[in-house]
Amino acid sequence: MRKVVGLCLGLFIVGALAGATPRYGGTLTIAMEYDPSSLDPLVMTDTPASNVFMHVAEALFRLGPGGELEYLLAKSFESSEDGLVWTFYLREGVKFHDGTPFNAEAAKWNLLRFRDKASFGPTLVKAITDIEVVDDLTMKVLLKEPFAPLLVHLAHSFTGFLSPTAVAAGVNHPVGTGPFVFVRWIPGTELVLERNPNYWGEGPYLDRLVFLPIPEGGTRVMKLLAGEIDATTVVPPDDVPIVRADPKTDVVIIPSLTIQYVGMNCQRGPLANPLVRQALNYAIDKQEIVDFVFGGFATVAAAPFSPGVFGYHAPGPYPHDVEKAKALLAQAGYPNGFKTTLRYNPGWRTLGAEVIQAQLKVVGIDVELISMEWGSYLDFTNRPVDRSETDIYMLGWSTVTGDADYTLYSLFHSTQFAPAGSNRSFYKNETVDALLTAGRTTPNPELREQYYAQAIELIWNDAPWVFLLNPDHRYGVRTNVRGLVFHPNFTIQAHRAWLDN
Amino acid sequence: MFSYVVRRLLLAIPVLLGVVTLVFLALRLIPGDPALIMAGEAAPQEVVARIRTQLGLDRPLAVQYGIYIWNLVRGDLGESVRTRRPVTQELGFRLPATLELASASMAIAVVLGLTAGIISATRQYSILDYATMVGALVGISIPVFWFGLMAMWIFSVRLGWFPVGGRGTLRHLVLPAITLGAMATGMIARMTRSSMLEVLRQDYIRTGKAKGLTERSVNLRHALRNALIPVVTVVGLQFGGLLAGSVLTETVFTWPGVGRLMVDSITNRDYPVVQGAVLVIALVFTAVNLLVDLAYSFVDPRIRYD
Repeated sequence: MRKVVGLCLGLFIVGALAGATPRYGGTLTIAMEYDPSSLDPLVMTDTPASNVFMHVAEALFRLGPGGELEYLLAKSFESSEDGLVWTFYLREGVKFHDGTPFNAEAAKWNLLRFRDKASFGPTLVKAITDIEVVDDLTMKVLLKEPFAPLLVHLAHSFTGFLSPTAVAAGVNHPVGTGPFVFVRWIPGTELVLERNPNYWGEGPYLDRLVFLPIPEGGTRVMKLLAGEIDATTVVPPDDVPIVRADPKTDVVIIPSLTIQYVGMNCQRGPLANPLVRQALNYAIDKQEIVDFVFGGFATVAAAPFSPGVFGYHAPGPYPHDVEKAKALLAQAGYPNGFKTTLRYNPGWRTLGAEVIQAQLKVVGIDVELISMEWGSYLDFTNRPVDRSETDIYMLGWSTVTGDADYTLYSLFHSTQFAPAGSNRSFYKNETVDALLTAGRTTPNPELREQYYAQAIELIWNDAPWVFLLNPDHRYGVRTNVRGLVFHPNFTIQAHRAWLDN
Repeated sequence: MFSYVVRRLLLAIPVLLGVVTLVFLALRLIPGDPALIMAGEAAPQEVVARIRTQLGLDRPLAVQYGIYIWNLVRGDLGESVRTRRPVTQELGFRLPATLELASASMAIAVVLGLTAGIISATRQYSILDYATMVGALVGISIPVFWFGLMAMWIFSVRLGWFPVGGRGTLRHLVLPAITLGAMATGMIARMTRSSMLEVLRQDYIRTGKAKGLTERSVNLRHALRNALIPVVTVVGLQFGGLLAGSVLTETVFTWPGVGRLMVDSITNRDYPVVQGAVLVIALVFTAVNLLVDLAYSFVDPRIRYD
């Protein structure tokens, strides 16, 4: 049972095979790196927020173990031939924590408010033009053009529904329909949820769920070893053996939906030449970074996003080949290399950048490392293309919806040049643009997969990034915890977790 | 004395105004857009622009400053950009935690540091003296991160005497207070020792010994009291350091203090919280300075404030 790596899509449920009878009661305490930035879905952006919010509020769907759609507040749905009208039949008898009934009116109000006011609104539900309430439990969602990822976007936890009554009354914590009820949040100290006794589905075993923000990795590990917490995110690679050595604690390693990449400005200097960008992909030994910086808890990237995502297609990885890199540089007109800059924000990237600098030196590329604090870094890489001074930069991206569109469109479509979107490499390929647009407007999944495979081949060849690695999640957990779900999308789900003696 | 205190309090106003103005400008001069950080790296431009307007960051700097100062005068520190809660509420919770930790550390540092310094000075060049001074040097130079984690490992994980982190009971306070106080303890010990040594060479000490006073009475009543002035100065300075420099300790022990709040808020460009936190720390710092100056006159009656 111990140290089993999650299969295929990497979801992991601790103690799922133990087969004991679940025990009711108790408090499960989970440590996270940070406090949520907010619990207001209009301004939430981060994983800690998602972790907490998904226990309190529920969306129409959620992504299940294999990345498949599971019904939450939607009971069923159908779509018109042209994919422009989606009818959702909602679950009956569901009430928000304040007693307000959940119905089509509430769902409509929530979705339109999210679309118009939320940070993630444009990314997730911009495609919705309007919503019609058919009857108490039926609504029609209208689109301007077909939008294939609609359902997985409606499974994003940020779209979880809040009680309109509570929002109107100005309640400043989430009041949803979820299995846990918000109790209190003292930032920097603790965030407490309590079991919802009136939950519509199979309710939780736990009485309480507590989240603690603990930024220092060593402290999280000590707390776990001392039994003060039951589970933690992000065990530092060096501490994995210590946690495994203790019979009362264990480390769960699962692949993530994240890619770490080294972006290159496709519109500036020598890097504007695809041959040069390919040369960098050959020159950088990704495996060394996996081993040296990630302690082996990562996989060299073979595609622009991680395996397990819909539309995954792997043309790579680029092998480590110094001679090939030198040949490509010579062919591009830089036989003696060139000078450039690499910007990054501190953290593991400090070490990663140093490794990359040393590796590029071998092929004659002289890299100046520039470390930037996160806020300045975002600002710098977000400048429009005509004012951009970015050469090489390091960033990561998580395909939280489990759908290729979420990553490819935002990062490689030429309409998404920063600052409008997240294409910070200023990559532009008209064929890729057409394929990505087709990918999001074609309902047929097989066709979509074909489009994405073609697009990925082109992106791989144009190499706007050095495709670095897919990191693993490293969770720490006490061995008496059962049924806790570690999802590849970086959430911890305690809906059906319980504590063994 | 009273008029002196009033004068000092009035003088604090321009100091504080200077502090808030500097912080206000510094925050806006460093690169980094609060709206962009808040919206996240994945956010489309329209969202960033909307947040910027919501936060009032699209207005001219002078207007923003005017609004800020006007609200400040009315006691309104604004609202956190992240949590949307009043800054006074954020600080109201964090400040007691910081004061508690700083006071406990200072108490430990004063008791341990004075004792060590006195022992060292009265037994100069003995093994005890060397041992104490090496100990003081270690206390000053040991990295807080390492010391904190080691203390946790030994006393919490291995021995189970204290909780690993968090704030609550007195037991929660012990390890962070010792960790944070280590440096101040070393400084006070060294300062007490050198100051004592100087005083012990004075004629009146020899006179005291000659007229048959006990060693104890000479050391504590005559030498220590005269040696305290530089020590009080160090205590005052160190207390300020404990307030503002507790970030590492707070991080290791997950102590919900102002230091961590400030660092997090700088990272997030949460302007109102940073401004509020700096203002509050400046206030406490000013108050501590005043108290130290007043303490001089108690230690040395020759010093008077008129």
